[in-house]
Amino acid sequence: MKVKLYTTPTCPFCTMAESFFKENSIEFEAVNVAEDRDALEEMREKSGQSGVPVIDVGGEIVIGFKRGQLKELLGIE
Amino acid sequence: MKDIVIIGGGPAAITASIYAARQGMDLMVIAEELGGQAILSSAIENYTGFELISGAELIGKFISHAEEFGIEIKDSVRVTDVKKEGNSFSIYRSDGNSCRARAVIVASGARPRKLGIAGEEEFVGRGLAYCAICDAPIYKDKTALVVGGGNSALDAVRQLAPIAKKVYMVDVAPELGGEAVLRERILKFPNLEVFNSSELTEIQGDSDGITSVTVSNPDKNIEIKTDGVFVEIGWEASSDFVKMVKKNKKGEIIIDSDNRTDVLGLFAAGDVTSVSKKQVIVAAGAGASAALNAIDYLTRLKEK
Ligand SMILES: Cc1cc2nc3c(=O)[nH]c(=O)nc-3n(C[C@H](O)[C@H](O)[C@H](O)COP(=O)(O)OP(=O)(O)OC[C@H]3O[C@@H](n4cnc5c(N)ncnc54)[C@H](O)[C@@H]3O)c2cc1C
Repeated sequence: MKVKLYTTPTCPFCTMAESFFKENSIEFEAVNVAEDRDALEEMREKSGQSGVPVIDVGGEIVIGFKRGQLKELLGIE
Repeated sequence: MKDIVIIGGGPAAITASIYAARQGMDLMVIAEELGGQAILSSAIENYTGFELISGAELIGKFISHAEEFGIEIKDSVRVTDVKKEGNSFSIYRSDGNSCRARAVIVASGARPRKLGIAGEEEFVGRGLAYCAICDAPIYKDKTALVVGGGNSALDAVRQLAPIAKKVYMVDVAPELGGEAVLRERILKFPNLEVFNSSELTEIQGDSDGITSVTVSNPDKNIEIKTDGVFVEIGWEASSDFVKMVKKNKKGEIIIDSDNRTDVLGLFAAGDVTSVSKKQVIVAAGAGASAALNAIDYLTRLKEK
């Protein structure tokens, strides 16, 4: 499953999300929407949100760092 | 029926869960946002054993510690009501489920205070933010408005002004508060405009997000064009879902020195309580105390 994390360099919830993916050996792509305006637009289109983090888990959009929801979507026990 | 249900996911709740799990309690933690407010702290320098650590990292360690015990944590779920029936409690949740427990620990901390004005709910996450450290970098070459005049509002301006085209600050007080050093520093930004003795009264926008706001002072209403609004007007106890318990004027749950509330079997710990010091280590210690006292209570209940 493709996992994409929309982030900014200072967002602590994004840092937590990254650690969570690493701990659970989930491959993910992180994009910095502060620098990459196309990614910001893409995030907006997918989620209606202009705040980070937004996480795309195989097409399912998670707004914020929601451990419980991510575990369910990724099938983590 | 659980022995203990712990409501919250910050330092108080996580510590309580570790103490309760080590004593073999059958427990569940229900947390709206696991981790709590300390995640927002970029540098914690007063938690014993760590000279300097970010809130995200420290809280990450707390969560891993709790996970070692296989504690059942319901994350991304809010408790909407707590009721007592006889000797047990019913806990109602935002996912439509409910559960029962012999004892409850309320450790639901504090949440950002809201403006309570038209447009606020509508534009959350669509230009309206309560986390400047998260979203400030997105406002490069854009316009942003910060509501508030204390340290957290000053800090939001410090992050925004160097990158944004224009930053407004709207504060109800006649003069900005916060630390003098930080205040002097931000007032030097040429692209900052401050409205003292003023309030934000409405947020306007369209399907793409915020377009403008209305700023009101006793003389007039002004419309200001902005892409974003950062709300930094302080924190309040997150206690409205427990109605039966005694609280002070600030909505903080009143406890005794053993973290007991006026409802037998209902304990509380951390920033949601009437303790005057709101710190990670204080909240964690209170969580431990609440758990140990809840266990004592359950032991006596069984002996009866
Ligand atoms: C920017 C910032 C910097 C800080 N810096 C420091 C520092 O350097 N050092 C220090 O010691 N302290 C610092 N603090 C204070 C510290 O973070 C708090 O005192 C501490 O987090 C309180 O812990 P708590 O467990 O009581 O509550 P919180 O951390 O507020 O956690 C409350 C938890 O309860 C959950 N919750 C709320 N309502 C419900 C509900 N209805 N149902 C389910 N769950 C719910 C929340 O989602 C959250 O998980 C800082 C705070 C902020 C905001």
